[in-house]
Amino acid sequence: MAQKQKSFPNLGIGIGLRPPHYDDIFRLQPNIDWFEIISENYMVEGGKPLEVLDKILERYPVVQHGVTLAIGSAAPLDYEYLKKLKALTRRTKTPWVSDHLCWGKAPGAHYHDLLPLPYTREVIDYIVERAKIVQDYLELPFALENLSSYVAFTQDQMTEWDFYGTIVEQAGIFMMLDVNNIYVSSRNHRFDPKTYYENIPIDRVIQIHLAGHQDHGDYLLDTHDHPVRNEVWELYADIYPLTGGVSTLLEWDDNLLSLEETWKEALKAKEFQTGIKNE
Amino acid sequence: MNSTILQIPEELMYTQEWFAGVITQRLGDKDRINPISPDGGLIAEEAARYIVPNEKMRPHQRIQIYNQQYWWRLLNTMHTNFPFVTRLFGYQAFNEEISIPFLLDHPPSTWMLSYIGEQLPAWIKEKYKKSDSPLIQNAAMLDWAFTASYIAPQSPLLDLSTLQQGGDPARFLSATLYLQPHIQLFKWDYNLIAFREKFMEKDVDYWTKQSFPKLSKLKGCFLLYRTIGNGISYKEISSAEYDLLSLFKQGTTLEDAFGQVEKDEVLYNEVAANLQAWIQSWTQMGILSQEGTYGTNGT
Repeated sequence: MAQKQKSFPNLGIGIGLRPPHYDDIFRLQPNIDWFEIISENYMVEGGKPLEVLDKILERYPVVQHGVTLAIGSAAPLDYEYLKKLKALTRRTKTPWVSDHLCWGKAPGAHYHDLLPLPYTREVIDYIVERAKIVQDYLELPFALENLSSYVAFTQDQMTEWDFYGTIVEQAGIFMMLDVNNIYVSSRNHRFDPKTYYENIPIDRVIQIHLAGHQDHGDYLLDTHDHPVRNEVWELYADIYPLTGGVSTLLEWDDNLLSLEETWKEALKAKEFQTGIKNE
Repeated sequence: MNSTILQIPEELMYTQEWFAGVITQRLGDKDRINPISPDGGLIAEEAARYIVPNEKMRPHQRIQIYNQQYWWRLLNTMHTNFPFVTRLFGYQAFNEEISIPFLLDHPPSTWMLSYIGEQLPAWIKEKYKKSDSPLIQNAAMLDWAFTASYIAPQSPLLDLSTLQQGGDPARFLSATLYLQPHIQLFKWDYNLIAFREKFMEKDVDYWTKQSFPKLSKLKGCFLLYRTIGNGISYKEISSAEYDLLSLFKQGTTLEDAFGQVEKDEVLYNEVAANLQAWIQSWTQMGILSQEGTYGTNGT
């Protein structure tokens, strides 16, 4: 395993911090290894969100994950956003910051979605420069997450794994690898998920996401509202040992379960971390 | 460090402009993509220039997924940010009469999803012309007040003991006081907050099948505030309290506030008789500060 990865703590298994769970967290103080927050939900000037966050930070490690940086947008980087993001990292002491390899805004407009990019050499060059700026500005390791995607562009010059791997290596950043997204995209674009993980710089993976999705027949949709599918657990069992052991997070954002049920679902990851599939 | 020096790839820019135009266009019949693109061409032909098909889906069917996700996510956010208005209309009518036309006029321009709908009360006043417009506008203002209070910053609390040190009344009278940024003031011909509470007890579908409760006509003033424990609460206040607190929104001294209210003898007498008790109560509730950061969300 590369030296770089060894310097990142394996926080264990975490879940996303969601408002309907706040009361149970404070009442039960469960032994959850760590929480991931959606950075934007706490980039506010005050009020309930920050009050809760400060209480969480007293007891749990927190890692920041963003959804609106839009690194691949044909729009200037938003330094007001980055300033607020950096201020929040000082508060949370997050060991790294992640967002998505996507676009999602234009000057004066935000689309509030993780939109796909064409896989071209010039887009790589563009994103590499921007990712370097972001990592330097934040003064923290910066990781990009692979998307679930539903379109492929006529302009594409390479595969997603070549595009993704080249960007993180050239920019000197890291991978937040979403195993569910690999599976969803493999079905939507008809590739073998094994080819994906065998062709990325796996030593740059510093965190893994797991989630559920919906099967719409003609395509799979990444929805974070179902248990993790068996095929995704199996993929996790293949990938996790290759990473040498990295922090793993269950994302569950819609049709929320209770805190206890969410944690129980997340803990299933332990069964697959040795690479043995419990079928 | 200046990203503007980075060359934006032209092809990427044109592709994203096209993509954004398509996904933000209003959904067509049965929530499918509009067969006509924003440029007036056939979407099936246009999409094929940018997107490759797979064995199950044609290019326009693939981008339709993003078109649907864009609208469904925003409509969901409107339901979350305006739960009372959603209950007054029901999902379908709220989407068609309010949310969709509003979002077409005000597509999101901020990275904060929770700010979507900030301009809705003003939009309703301008564009929604049915007879219930005043009520719907007030309901939207009230829903938005809950969101704004939830995320508003907290200024340092007013410390009465510091102001009263030395027993010099002039020190107290000349201090500029401000409302906390999370305070919202309302003056209505009815208690809309209690009415909202009644609606919130049941889900949206319940209210599409049930008659609405009667909205009692009873003039009143109300103070919506964030509690010390960061919950949102409200208190009915007198008209004089409302007038005085309104002056503190932009910051004023008690001396100047008295100057304002003394033009109205009845108001002045009520303020003079109750001020000490009010200040005590407002201080306990944590709604005053000596630092002015009152935002734009105040009513």
